Amino acid sequence: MSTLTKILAVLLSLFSIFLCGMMVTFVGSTKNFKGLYEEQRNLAQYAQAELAERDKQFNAQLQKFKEMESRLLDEIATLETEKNTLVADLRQVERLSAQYQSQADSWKGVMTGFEQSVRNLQASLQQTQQQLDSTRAQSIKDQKELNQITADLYARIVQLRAMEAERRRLLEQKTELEQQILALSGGVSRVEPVTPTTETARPAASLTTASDIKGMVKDVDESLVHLSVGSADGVRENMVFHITRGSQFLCDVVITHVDIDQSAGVMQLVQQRPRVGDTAGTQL
Amino acid sequence: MARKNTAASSDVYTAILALAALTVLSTAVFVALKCWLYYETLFSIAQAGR
Repeated sequence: MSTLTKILAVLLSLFSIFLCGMMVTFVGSTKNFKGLYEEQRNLAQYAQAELAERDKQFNAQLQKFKEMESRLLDEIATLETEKNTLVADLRQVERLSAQYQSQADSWKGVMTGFEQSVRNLQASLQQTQQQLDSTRAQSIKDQKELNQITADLYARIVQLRAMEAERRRLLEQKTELEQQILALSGGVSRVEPVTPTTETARPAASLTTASDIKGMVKDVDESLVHLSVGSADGVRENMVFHITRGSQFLCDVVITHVDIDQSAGVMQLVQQRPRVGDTAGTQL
Repeated sequence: MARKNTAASSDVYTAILALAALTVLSTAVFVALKCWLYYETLFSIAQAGR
């Protein structure tokens, strides 16, 4: 074997060993691309299927969303209409509120004036009430004095009538005496006096009563009663009217003042105070 | 004519050649095994599975 052959054999051996090392290193570090490919393909298929499912779900959700969108748009339109209506109502209510507020302010001012007026009126009312009380007290006092004067007047009237009767009687006695004088002097017979002699004059005897006069009570004071009949109906002073309410006797009224269409008198035998509208008659 | 016996000139070169041959054979087996395990083929381009 020549030397060149030996060198070539050694070089070939070394290169083959080196090449084999490189090959083993390369193949040993190489990944399984087919497996990786199939794994990625499976992943891609799974992702594709999932994409299709998601796409289907997306379409379904999109359809739902579209339906919901249309429904919500309708609701929005309805709510927009209601909002416009409510805004219009709100503006109207605000206008009314402002108007009512101004009215309330004006009424508040008016009420303040009224309150002041009412306070003034209350003050004047209290003052008037005090005056009225004093006037009532004075009226009661005057009424008592009037009753006393009326009683005195009745007594004076009775005395006057008694004196009138006495005067008539004296005149008749005078006439009788003159006739007796004439008779004694000329033979004329005695004449009896027309008016009989009475020892005392009584007021009750001078009271006159009418046969049938009916009237009504027009007004009632403390002791005076005003009746709706007067001299035109035949009423005279000192007439006695019986005041009744239905079948109930209330009092008697002795007439002291007579006008043409009305009369007034004082109460006697008071069982119950008469009222306006009670019946007054000369006979029960 | 007398027979001429040829003897190896040296065992060192024989050992080197044997080592080289064994290395190449091992590498071929290793690469073939890898190709078969990975791609299930030895002499063709790997196809995508169904």
